[in-house]
Amino acid sequence: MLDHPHQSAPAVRIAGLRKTYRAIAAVDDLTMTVPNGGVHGFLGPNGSGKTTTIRLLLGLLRTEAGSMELFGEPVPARLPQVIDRVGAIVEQPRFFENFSGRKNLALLAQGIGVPINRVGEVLEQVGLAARASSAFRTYSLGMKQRLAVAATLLKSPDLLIFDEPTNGLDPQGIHEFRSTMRALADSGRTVLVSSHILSEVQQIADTVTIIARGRALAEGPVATLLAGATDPVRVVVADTVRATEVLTRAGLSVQPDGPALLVTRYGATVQPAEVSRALGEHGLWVSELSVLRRNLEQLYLQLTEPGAAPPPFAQPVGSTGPTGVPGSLPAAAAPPARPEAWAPETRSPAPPAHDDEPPTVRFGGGAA
Amino acid sequence: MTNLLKAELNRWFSRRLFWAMLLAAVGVSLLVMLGMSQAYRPQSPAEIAQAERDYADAQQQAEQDRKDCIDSGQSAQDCDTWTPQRSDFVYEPPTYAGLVGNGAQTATMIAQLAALVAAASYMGAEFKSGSLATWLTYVPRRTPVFASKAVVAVIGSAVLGAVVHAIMQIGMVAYAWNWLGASGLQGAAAEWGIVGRGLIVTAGAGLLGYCLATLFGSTIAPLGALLGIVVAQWMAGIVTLLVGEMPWLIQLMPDNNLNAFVNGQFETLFVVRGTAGEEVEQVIRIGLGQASLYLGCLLIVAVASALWSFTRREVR
Repeated sequence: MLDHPHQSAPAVRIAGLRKTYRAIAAVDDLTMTVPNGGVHGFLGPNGSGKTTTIRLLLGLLRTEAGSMELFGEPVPARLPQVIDRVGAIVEQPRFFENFSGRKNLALLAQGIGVPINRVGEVLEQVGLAARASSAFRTYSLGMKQRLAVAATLLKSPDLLIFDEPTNGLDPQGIHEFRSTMRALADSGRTVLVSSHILSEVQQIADTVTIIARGRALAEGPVATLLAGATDPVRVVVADTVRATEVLTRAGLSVQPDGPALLVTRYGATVQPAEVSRALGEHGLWVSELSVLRRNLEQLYLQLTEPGAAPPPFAQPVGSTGPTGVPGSLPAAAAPPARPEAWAPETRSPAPPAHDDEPPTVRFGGGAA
Repeated sequence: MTNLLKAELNRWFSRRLFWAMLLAAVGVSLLVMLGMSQAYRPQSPAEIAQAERDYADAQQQAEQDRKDCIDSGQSAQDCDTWTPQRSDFVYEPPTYAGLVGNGAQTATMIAQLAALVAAASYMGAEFKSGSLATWLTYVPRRTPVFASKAVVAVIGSAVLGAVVHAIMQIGMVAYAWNWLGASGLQGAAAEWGIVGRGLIVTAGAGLLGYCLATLFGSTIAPLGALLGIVVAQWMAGIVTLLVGEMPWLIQLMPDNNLNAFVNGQFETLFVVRGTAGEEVEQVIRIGLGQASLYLGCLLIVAVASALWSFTRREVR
């Protein structure tokens, strides 16, 4: 990858992008950046403009305003120069129905001048070799997705774009696809995955952009977006009335949560230890104590709550947050608007270190 | 561009619909040839003798009918009805030139329809399956993509046309050999020109089918366009009946120009009213040059429109 002139440029940079359909803005002044390497989640509900953005990026639709770059190259003007570094599946895998998987890939390989033996390699890689000669129309949705992944791997791209890749897949297929994306990212590639299922992407994404109504709401590393000062401490004590008095005197905000209390502090982190110490000093014994971590879904709900003030953590994209990562969160954040929506953190452990080997695509056998 | 051409050629010749259309065209050609063997077969001496007798009988009968008619009190003019012609009973033996010409015209008609459908479906399938979007994410330069598909539509249609024409002409040679002997296989140089131009028309029909499918984003559109032309000609016929012949309309009709191109020229005779109300016969001719220009312009407009549409199309 050192041969590329814009090695330091992010994989994707979009600024002020706009696209309307019959006067309805599908993408409205969208600004986002996808850093090089790792999995970047592009999240938002259905109709939020994710697919339109991807189509615009790939030159399938015409932009009305704004600028886009892939690896520092302006697109669509220089898309032909950079397309060999990009593999994409937009919405659902689309191939010729009556041709076999192998034939479909052979045509693509021939069209872009990739040696034909690469087709066998990528089919093997995604576990489709056994069914490669069957007509595409006979494939299950999972197999179609695998073929699409194989197609993107034909050119050994640096950036892979998957648009709602797990739509219609069963839990096993979803798990396999997640593993695949993680493996691709671990091999040094950048994976941009759009999804409306935020919790699903949270498990594999290193960074995310959250959009709604065509606009970016938040962007940055998942850990930064979800961590922070506003995670409440949930505490269960026998005398909630006294406990509320004690904690309030200690400068904390307290809200009832069923038999428990949710404890927060405006603009700063609440340490579980200080809660238990404050209560213990007044003879109130804690029977349960936990820190509630937000997940992306809750973050999204908070960002899109009707009438909500501009989210304090949604930085202008391109600015540098406290972590030094563009678009990351500031240290302080407002207390949660909906404490009941908080849940224990579900983020997966950090991905393994990168290596230079081709990714092990962890799809199941060919008999899906 | 070379890679694109290879991939598109591979796809064209891998399509089942292409082979189905080729088989259908060959099948129809064989049926037509079977019919031609009956229509053009020379009469045997016995058949000629019988035909001469039938002709004499028909003449006698016609004369008798005329006499009876006059006897019944009608005028001689009213009783002048059909007079038998010898050529209605004793046919001229076919010539090799005639067989080649008729075979070429028939093969062109069959092949151009098959090519139009094959090429329209070749592009229409891209829209229907959505694979065009996949293809464009690999090769985003739209003009070379369009051009490679257009070239392949022309080549593929020409191959289809060549097969149909070859089979038809092999049949014509076989008939001529059988009916006229080896010495009869000559004198068809001008008619071979019809074969050549028929091939060009077939390739052009493929290109037109591809362009219309690109323009309208479906396979059905070119067939709809064909139907539209038929309806337009039918309407033109009605208008002609109402307001009289319009020479400029005859010159502009697509089928007349197509006939002129394939056959080398088109000629039609019609009657108009003179200034004093008298009937005046007029001949309209469309030459090869005029027909070539007409069809060439038609294709250029189709290609330019399709290219414009393809390069600006939003692919979803």
